[in-house]
Amino acid sequence: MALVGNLRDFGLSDFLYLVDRGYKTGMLVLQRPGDQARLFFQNGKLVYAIQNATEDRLGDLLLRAGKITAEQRDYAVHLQQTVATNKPLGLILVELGYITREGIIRAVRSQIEETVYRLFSWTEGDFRFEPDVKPPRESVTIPLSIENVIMEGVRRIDEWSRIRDRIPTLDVIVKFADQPTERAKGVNLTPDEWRVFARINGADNIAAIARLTSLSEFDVCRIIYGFIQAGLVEVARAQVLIAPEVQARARALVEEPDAVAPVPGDGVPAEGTPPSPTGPSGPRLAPGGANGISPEARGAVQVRRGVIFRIIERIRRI
Amino acid sequence: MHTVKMVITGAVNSGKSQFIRTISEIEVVSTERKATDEETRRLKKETTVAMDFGRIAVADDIVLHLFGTPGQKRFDFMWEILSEGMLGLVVLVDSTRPDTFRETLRIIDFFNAYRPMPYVVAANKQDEDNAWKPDEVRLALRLPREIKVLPLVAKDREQVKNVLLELLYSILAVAEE
Repeated sequence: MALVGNLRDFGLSDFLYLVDRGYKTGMLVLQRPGDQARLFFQNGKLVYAIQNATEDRLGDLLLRAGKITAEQRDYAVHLQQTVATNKPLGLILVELGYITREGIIRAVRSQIEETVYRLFSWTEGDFRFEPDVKPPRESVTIPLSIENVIMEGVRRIDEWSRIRDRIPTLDVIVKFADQPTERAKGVNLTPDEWRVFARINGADNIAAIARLTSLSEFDVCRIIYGFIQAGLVEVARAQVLIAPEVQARARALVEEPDAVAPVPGDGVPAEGTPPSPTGPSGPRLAPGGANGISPEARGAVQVRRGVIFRIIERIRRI
Repeated sequence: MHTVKMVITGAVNSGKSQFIRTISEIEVVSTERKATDEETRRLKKETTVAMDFGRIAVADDIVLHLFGTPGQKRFDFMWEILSEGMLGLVVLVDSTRPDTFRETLRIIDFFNAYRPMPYVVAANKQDEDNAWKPDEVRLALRLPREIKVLPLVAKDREQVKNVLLELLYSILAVAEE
């Protein structure tokens, strides 16, 4: 079953994360007016990508990259069609001495990376993921680490709106994911990214990290956004404050709804409005996970265990 | 009399009302604060608070209350009220609408930051062709393994029961830690 959506609602880095962690195999088609790209995945790795090309053949790719001439391509294709019908074109080109095996890999890798990095600038576009669809038969596939792709792609993001999805306020605190060392192994960080990475301690918020690293708040947010998208770090906690007047208003609303006047600014944000800078943010906690359940909730559960067993029995009988 | 409260939350159209209607023993009470004049009608989005309420009598001395509450930020203040005596909550996701995942994330982040408590996520509308599977919803929402993501068709009583039971098991697991 195809997964469909729009990049406006579910960004490319989110999708790449899903593919990576879900070990998915298949083709992701991204489309917007006059523009189409196809990304191919094998067991969660990006293995091939092409944009706006009706011709997927290796010879054309190498020609576009300036690695071989049109005459060399035509001759190799001629040989493949006449005397070497079972041989991949890449091997024929290597045997003819037109290009090395490493040269082919570099060219293909470069095409895959540049294609996917360009896609990070798409703020909207329909996507469709078709499971188990393989790359075109003649394409050379090279498995690339999704974490690196995400980190590089995020370096090219220059809008707050997407970053604010994950980092709505500078009060956000991040901590390392369960196995940061393991996940970080394959990721290449820039010096600035290392500076931020080294400051993550689960205690300092983003504003503090920006001060300590002398980087701009935007740069720190963008870097940490990349870490989050690549699964290297997680949002630990941000404080949520409910103003006393809001609490009072809530009580009044329950007791006497019609007597409470609407408060300006209490409405749904306008379409496209970024989240409030004072908006809530926090971890998605597991019961009893590292961050734990609140003492109040835990206490309530302890007191009511017998009640819970009876509810379970009752629901089973419904 | 023990009154136990469970909250069913989720983005708009995630199936909260249907979920409660399917399992409640009483006719579900849906409340909406009506706009009263032209100006408030014009600003209807800002002046409406919709809630669903259902009930299951467990025994003479125990009753389970189910509250369906909007998850949008403008209803943050409702948590102050609902969280008193709440044992856990069900977060519903419209599995056919990835455009609502972001809102779902905000809801989960909000209550975790406000008062962490046991919860399960139910990937609703699994009977529709373009539904994301529970595992895909888990990855999309970046939920840890410990959080149960359950398949759901909110019109199906057995599946609704299963979601509530799984939540209760999660609550018990917390109690046993």
